[in-house]
Amino acid sequence: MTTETTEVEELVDSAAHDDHHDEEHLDHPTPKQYWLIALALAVLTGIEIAVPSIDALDGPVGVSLLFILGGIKFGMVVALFMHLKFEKPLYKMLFLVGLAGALAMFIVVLLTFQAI
Amino acid sequence: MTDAAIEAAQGGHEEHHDVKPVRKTAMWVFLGSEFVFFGAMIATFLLYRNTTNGGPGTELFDIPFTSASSFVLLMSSLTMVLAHNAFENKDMRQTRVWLIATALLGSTFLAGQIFEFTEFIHQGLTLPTSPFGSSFYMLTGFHGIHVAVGVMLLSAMAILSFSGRLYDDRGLNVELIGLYWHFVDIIWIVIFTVVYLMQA
Amino acid sequence: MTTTAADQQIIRSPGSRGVWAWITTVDHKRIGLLYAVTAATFFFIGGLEALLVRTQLFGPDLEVLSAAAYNQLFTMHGLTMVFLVVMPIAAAFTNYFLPIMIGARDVAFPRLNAFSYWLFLFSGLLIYSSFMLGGAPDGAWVGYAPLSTQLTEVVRMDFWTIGLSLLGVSSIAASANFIATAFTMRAPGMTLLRMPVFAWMSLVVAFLLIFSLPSVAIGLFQLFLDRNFGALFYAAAAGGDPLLWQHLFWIFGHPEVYVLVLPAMGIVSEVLPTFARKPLFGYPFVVFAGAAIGFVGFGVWSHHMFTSGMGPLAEAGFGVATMIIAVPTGVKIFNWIGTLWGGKIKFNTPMLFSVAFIAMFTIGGLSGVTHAVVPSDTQQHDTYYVVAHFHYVLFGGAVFGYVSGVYYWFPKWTGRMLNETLGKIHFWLALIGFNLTFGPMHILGLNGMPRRTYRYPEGLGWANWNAVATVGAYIILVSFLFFAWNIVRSHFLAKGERAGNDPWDGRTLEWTISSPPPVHNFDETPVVHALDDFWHQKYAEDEEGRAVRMPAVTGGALTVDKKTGGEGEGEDGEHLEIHMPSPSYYPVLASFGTAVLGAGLIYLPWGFFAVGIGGVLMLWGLFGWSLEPVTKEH
Repeated sequence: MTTETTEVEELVDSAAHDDHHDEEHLDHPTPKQYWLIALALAVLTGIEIAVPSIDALDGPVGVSLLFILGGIKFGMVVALFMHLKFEKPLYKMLFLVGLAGALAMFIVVLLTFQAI
Repeated sequence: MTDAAIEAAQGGHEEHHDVKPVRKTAMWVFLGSEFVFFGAMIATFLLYRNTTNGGPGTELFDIPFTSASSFVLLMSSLTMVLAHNAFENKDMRQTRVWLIATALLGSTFLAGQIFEFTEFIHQGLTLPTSPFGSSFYMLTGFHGIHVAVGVMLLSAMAILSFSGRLYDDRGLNVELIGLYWHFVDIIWIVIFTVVYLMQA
Repeated sequence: MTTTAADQQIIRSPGSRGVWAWITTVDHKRIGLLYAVTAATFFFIGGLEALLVRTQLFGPDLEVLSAAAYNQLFTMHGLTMVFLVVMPIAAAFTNYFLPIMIGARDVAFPRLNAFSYWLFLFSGLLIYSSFMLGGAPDGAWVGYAPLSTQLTEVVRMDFWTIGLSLLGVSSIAASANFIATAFTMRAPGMTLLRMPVFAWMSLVVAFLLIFSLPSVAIGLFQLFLDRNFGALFYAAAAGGDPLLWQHLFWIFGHPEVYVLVLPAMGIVSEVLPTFARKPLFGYPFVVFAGAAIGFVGFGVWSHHMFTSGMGPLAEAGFGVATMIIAVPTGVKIFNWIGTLWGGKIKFNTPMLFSVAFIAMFTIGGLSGVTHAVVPSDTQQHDTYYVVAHFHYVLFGGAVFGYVSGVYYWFPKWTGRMLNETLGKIHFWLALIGFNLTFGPMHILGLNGMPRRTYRYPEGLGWANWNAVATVGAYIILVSFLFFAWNIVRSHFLAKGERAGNDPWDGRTLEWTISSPPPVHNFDETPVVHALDDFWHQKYAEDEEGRAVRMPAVTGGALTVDKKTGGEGEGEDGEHLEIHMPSPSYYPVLASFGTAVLGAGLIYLPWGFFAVGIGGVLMLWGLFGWSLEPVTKEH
């Protein structure tokens, strides 16, 4: 009976402990780091705005560059501001499945219309 | 093995139940599904981006103006995360300041949207003008509605913080609204790139 | 063996009776029963719609119904059965049993749970009110543009657009609720891979809904804008493309059919082991196959569009993906057969319906395989062959599965058994009637009879099989009258044999608590050590692997049979210190406001008043809800 009790206690302890562990030991960027991230986002935005006005970047090159820059901004906000980098796998899965699923399905739709 | 210990882990007793992962899970579920929601509208826009039915098209876009309002919304993510940070440090006054700042920046963005839409309408682009018009207004309109709801929630939380009723574990909380607000921002990052910058 | 019902004392607190108690309930069990009763009512209404359709088609050139009436009836039949019957009955089972099966006391968000139910009820009533307001939606349950964008003086497809949108909100809320519940509220030791298969299928379905509903939501909003604000999303003349509607609809519509059938498959996976007295064969395979069906189900939607001119590459791709789905489905079927093989089988009513599920679903699956082949589908599309296919999987499949669940869990809900003789009459009549109705439709379809047409002429050779099908439909009606009588007799007339905690000698946690369960489900949160934990507490294995009954365990979950009623007022709180969420009227207020808002949108522009009033009620409900504590102190 005592071994069963200890086993159960461990189960319960680890379940409770996990949550506390997550909350106390998460890496939170400091306010100063948040300002730096925002500065980086601003710089990226500035570059993005410049791209359409540079003739040399017309066409697929420019489009790819815009996607890359936008993607970096997107990733930074998600990972750092939304904290997803430090969150549990379940949240990452919910986010990524939604994103990947939406992308896949709607790319297929646009392909059938030959719109992309 | 005490009952209380099991209950604490299991959540049978209200005060011991850690609701954070429960609510956060629900918020991430919602955000995951919103990708499909906005994805459908973005796909519709991409399908119709050149279907102007004889009416105006992307030449109406004022990239500098939209860039400015995009920048405003982007910075509101900064103020949002500073509000959350202040809340985690239990500094209600700072929290309030940053919440209000976020709401103000969001409202500025909305004002910019309304101004832009009014301009486009004057220049002949309305919902019934063309599939392009329909899909443009629906996509940016729904995004705007999301921003408006966010501003409303941010304001409500700022008000609640005055009476000391902004809790970590009950009802609306700063972290959840933050997740929603950042999501609305990243959707705009996509819209700005795909709708405005790519068509320029 | 089990404590008899005579030992049970039912003590209800004053706050738990009466209409107001049911309106403000946040108890997942009561909400589950509300869903079940509402779904059953809509089932009979949807069935009557089908009978009218079948009567009109009994012979060639009949004029029982006008074309206009016919179009409304088949549209409403489809809409009712999919959205107002099968989805809610699945929600009923999930609501009642997901928390109990994982050892929890309620769902993650009890008030949101209530909101989902009331919004479902109000949406169903809103859609049905159309019959009295000029006519019901008549554009088929799939509402293809440009037929659905036509504005008519009288019939408003907006009831369909807005009604479905509201139902979608209800479902997304419920899905978020169930996902949060399954991931954060499992009892100690209840790992994901120890959850019963039914709990797993409920979880997979919740994921299907959250990722598919937003697509149809956008389609519906675009349709609404086309109809009411002059938008041009589906207007071919202006360069719009009606095919866009089909994509947006079927990206939802295909996962939707797995939403309809997976919970029923979960029920079958619970019933078979119980009455074969063997564990489910290949539990991890059954679980992963269910998840695989859900996942692949997102990749096949355009198989509903093979005749729309997408081109050979798209058609081939979707055809292959559709064939791939047959694989995990087959895995489940073989595992069910493996469960039955060598078991000590008891063919009582729940078992009969579950076994029939396997057979009927397989037949429907086979016609589905012929649909996956593009050339044959090209002939079958829009014929009665398709009608045969989906009724075999949805009626012979899903509905039979849910009926099996009712017979299986009725004792848990009510504390009384359903009558076996009446059950068997129901079963055989239903099975015969069903096959007489839908079997011949395969032939009719291959002989070219089109769907959705209100009459057919003489001389095409369709009359005889149509007559058989109509007779079959009436037999189905009679069978379900036996079912209804069985339920009324057992519960409402209190003539059913009393049931204890565990009338079937079951394997899962719901059989450890009283029938019906106390409001707080478990006196003590169970601690789980294995899959089918309850079974292992009751039985050990001897040297030859035979089950040996263990002496009854005292204390804890096994012998809880004292019903301690009370809606969260903490009646037994002094002793057990369990605080259940308090009842609340905010969910019903918020959902009512939402429905009024929707109704206003149907009747724009003067509907703006209703939109305003509805919006205010909704916001009042939502704010009140977020500011009130979950458990009220007293």
